[in-house]
Amino acid sequence: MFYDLLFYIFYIASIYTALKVITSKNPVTSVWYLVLVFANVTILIFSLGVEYMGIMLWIIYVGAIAILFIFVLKLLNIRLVELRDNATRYVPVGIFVGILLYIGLKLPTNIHYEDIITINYSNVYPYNNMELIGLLLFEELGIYLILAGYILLLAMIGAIVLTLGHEGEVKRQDIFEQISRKSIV
Amino acid sequence: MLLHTSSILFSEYLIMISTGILLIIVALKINKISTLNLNIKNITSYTLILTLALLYQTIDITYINNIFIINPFISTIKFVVILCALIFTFLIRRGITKISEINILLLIGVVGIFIILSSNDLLMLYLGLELQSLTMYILATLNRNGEFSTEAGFKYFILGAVSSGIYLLGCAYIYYLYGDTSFTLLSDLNLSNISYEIGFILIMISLLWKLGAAPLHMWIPDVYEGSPNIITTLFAIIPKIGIVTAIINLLTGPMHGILSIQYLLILTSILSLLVGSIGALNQSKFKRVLAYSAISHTGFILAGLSTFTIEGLITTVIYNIIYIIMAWNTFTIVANYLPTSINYNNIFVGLSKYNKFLSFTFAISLLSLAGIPPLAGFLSKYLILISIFNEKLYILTGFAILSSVISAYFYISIIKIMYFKDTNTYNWKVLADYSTNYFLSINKSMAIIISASLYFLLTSLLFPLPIFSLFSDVILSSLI
Repeated sequence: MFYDLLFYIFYIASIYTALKVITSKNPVTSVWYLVLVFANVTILIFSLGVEYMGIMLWIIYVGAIAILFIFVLKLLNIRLVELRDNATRYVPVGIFVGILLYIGLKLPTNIHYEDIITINYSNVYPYNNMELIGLLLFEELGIYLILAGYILLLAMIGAIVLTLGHEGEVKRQDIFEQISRKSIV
Repeated sequence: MLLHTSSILFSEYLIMISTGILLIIVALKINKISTLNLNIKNITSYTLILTLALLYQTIDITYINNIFIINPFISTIKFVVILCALIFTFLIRRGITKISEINILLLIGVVGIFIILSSNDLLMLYLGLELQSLTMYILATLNRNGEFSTEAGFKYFILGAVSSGIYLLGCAYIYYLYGDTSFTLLSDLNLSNISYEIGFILIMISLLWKLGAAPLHMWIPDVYEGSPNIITTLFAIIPKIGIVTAIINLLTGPMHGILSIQYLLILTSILSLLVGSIGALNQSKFKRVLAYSAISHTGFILAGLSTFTIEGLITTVIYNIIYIIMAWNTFTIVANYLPTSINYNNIFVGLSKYNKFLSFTFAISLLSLAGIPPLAGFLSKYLILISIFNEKLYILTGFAILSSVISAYFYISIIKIMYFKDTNTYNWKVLADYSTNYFLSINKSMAIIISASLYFLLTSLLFPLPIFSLFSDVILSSLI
């Protein structure tokens, strides 16, 4: 009963903060409510028993993406007046997108349970979420991890190829050239 | 044990290790620390040749918990990809691709395509798609001196990332409904309801987006036009073969009975044919004309795929291979040889006076793209038309013929500009050099590529048996 109550509290809180994200007048307030949305959803995910997903959500969404939003807000020059005037222009499109999302989520609901293929690891030892992910990702399916690292390597190479190259544009110092003198023998 | 079961990946391991070594060499060269006189381009070529030797597999195997698969069809396509990468190394001495990192990016792109080709799992296919697409995004933005190339790369990056997102959405639906993402398990399912097929439809839409089929084709003209000329040659050839083979692997595996996918393929094929042929009519820049012609050839490939028969698959693969040969010819002449960096159609004025052999070769390759009979393009188009006609897709056949007829206009208009256009009014360089018997020469590596592909174009209709028997053997032995 108590856990049900907690679940409902965070459930309603996540919906409320999500609504405040889109209806608040100040964009900085929107970002703050976005962080709160992620916090509430993380707690809900923890209650489902998928701790790794919750921690990843918190680190990636709040630690990287919300910070990205804050940087973009700082760079853009947003005037508060024109935001408030045009608030009701986007309601029909919002409702349309909401209906599409609802259909998209309700579509695969007739699950034939005999068709689902599950691998049950809990007959031997009841692994928790982190242990199971570690077991699979580092031993059996380690090739995924190695390839993901390879993609990161490619991203690093790409960043250097695209930004560092024209060595003539940047003025550098060559100390040897600066302090050397013509030798008269 | 791990070494034995991973021996399937040996060719990819070799390429990955050599990219690591190349990185170290490039880093040392930049810092001017070492005095090694190694030619990085040669190392790239040797790596690619060595992987050819490692491709020889005779058995159908799946490895590492059904993640990878090897069969003769996939080995043949890998062979074709390595040949294209080797030919590409002939071209990378010139222009913007003088930087030594181009070799590393090429090898990583080849690794990405290998992973797409030999993947047996939806997530492994995603990793391969991302690896190959990221390489192409970087290569599209190499020319940083103006905003044209960065705009092209930016558009390509944004749209490629969105299509990968749609792919993952499809994977999420499939995992939610079935609990597994491996092709072997997904092909044994019994799909009866439309709500089960939504994941596969989303995956097919994302792959069609990456291929550049209409109505998701808007990025192709801008990306082809904005990229450096040598990279456009790469774009036209290598991603197409990888993604078409991925679609073939999916169609013969998880998606083998779904009618909605057939309707989707027919619809996008008709739209691509129309857009590709009509869109190029009003273009005055030649690279955009080539981009629209690539869209119409994609339409033909999708027409062959939409038949859902083995003959359709064989003709699709043959069409793709012949298109690769034609694309090598056309893009090497046009994109790497344009005397100035101007892109307009009128740059070809008077080419028949400057270099009779080059204009003859270009005319032959344009006629082959249009599908005129004694050339290889006719062979491939004929096979596709026969296979879709036998499958009773009459409207699709009508649109394919209509598209060939309309696209013949802009191919022949280039031939008109080369041979018959008055040279006194367009090109100031012509005015200056008209009296001195000017001859425009090509360098040796391009001449080899152009003449080898011209040979295949001229003789494919006379001796089609090698291509036929090779591909029908490998496809029949591995995909049934």
